[in-house]
Amino acid sequence: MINILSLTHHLGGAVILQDVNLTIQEGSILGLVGVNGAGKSTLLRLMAGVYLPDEGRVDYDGHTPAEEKTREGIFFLPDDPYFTHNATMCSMLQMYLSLYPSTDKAVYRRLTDGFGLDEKKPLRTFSKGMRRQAYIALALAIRPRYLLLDEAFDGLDPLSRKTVKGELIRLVEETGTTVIISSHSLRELEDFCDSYAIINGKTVSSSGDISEKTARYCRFMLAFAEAVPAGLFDGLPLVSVERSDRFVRAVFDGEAEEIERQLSAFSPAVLERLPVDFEEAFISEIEGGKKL
Amino acid sequence: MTSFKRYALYHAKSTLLRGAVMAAICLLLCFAFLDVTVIQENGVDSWAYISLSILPLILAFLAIVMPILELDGFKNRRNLDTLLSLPVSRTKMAAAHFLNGLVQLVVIYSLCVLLGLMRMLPAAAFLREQHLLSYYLLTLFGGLIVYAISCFVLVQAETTSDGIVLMLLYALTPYVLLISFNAAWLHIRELENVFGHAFPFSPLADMASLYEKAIEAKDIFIPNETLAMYIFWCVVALLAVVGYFLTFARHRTERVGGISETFWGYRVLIPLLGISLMLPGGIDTALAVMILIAMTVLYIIYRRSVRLRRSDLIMLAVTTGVFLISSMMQS
Repeated sequence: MINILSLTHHLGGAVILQDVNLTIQEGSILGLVGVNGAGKSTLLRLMAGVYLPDEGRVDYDGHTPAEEKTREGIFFLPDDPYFTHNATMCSMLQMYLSLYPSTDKAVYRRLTDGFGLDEKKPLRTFSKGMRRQAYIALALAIRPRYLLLDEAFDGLDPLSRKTVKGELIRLVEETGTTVIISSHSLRELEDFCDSYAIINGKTVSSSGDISEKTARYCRFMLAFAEAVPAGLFDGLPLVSVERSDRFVRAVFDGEAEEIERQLSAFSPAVLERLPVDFEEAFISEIEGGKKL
Repeated sequence: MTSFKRYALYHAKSTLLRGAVMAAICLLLCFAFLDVTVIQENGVDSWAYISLSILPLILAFLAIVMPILELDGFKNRRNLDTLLSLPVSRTKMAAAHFLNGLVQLVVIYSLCVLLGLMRMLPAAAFLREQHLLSYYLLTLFGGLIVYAISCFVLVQAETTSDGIVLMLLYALTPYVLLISFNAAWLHIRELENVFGHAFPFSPLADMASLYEKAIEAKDIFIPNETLAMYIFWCVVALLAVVGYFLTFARHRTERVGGISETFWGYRVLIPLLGISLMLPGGIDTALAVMILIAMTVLYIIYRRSVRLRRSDLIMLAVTTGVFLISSMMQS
């Protein structure tokens, strides 16, 4: 289990993360989301031991990532991994083989073949997506206990995304790996993550089970014969709203049946309840400034 | 195998080609510039002339370049994401890079000295080549002093180019500081000789010069000030090694690539050098203006902008004040 306790980090006098608290269960796949510059990458670097926290700590079963033993179980794949001019997949594999004895060559081979990558070609000749595939193949082959992925889907084609999602689920099932993945593609995360953490306002503003949290929200589409009546949302737990002359789409944080009953009182021509996905819930939280 | 061994071995393997290229360059330079000539008088071999000055030059070059090559990877934020998340502690990583550079330096220099020995063999009758061992060990140690200080200075900097500027400042600071201190307060003429060796390169240069004469079968005498400064620089090198490991372990990764703000960097060196130069008094106004211009240029390099901070301007004002006061006291 990973416990992040009162974590605070500054950069050049500016606070990047403040009093971050988060618990990540063993064997879960957590989607780390937030707007650009929210501090997702900083949090992942602090979790990987690349940055040293100013206050608080990251705790892996009682050990910090500064400890070598802890880092033996962690693999961090940054959003823009570095490689030397002549680095090939082969040479990268050699490096990781020497440092991570748990590396499974069969997995590496299966993924490399699956992606159709030439492991002897220099990485600099690969496209951005191919490089991403190469690093993901290496990351999955290492079979770490904790896998930290920063913008892992960035640059991947839909087919590769599907493969990677499948492989991540397989890794978790086979080895009990805990995966923390940051991404802006929330619909993608919703497909395979079981939990989430939103970084907003320099801290983790909410976290938990994705399905439970999206179930808390409800969205209604309403159409009126005349103009939208005044006071339509009075007393309702409104999160966000889009409106035109006679149409309204609104997201609420509350009991759907009760909200539907109150909206019906305005006799709309159409009243339809729509599901809320994780991306809408995220946007509602960020824009509405409300907790999920 | 421990994580240190695994990492050190991987790093050594991955830098082997680099080391081989460096060795080839150094050996070629040695071959070209190392001079051993047997002088004939009346058709008979009478004495030998040697010039080994390329050896300390190569050693000094290696002692500066090797730390740059070893630590350059830590000046790239992208690279650090990969390196610092590996299952190797920062101290072990620092040790692996320090030792790898050191081993390459020792091996390359040893090969160069060996080449020197082979070149000396035809003139062996006129040389005391047994002194080559003392030459080798004492110059090598002198080179290691420079290597240790270079490593310390480079970890203070956030970019390699800042590291190179700081290395230059570090090379000048002890000499300027001691000479100015003596000129301002002690006024002991004999100390000028001692402080003349207050460069990090002095132990290497002094020993190379002395033992080259010894190999040429000339009598040598090691002055006390040379010996004293050799010991002084050994102590400085030891402190530099401790400072290197401490800085490496506690360094804030997120600052890499930014302004080099560490205490033992520009922040202290620029005012220290400027004020030290102004302190003795009696320097003419043109020189004082040049010193202030040099300080301003260094502050611009430090800040990477012509917009200096208030603290920089205060230091420039203090330096000007020191010049004015010391000039008035002198007159």
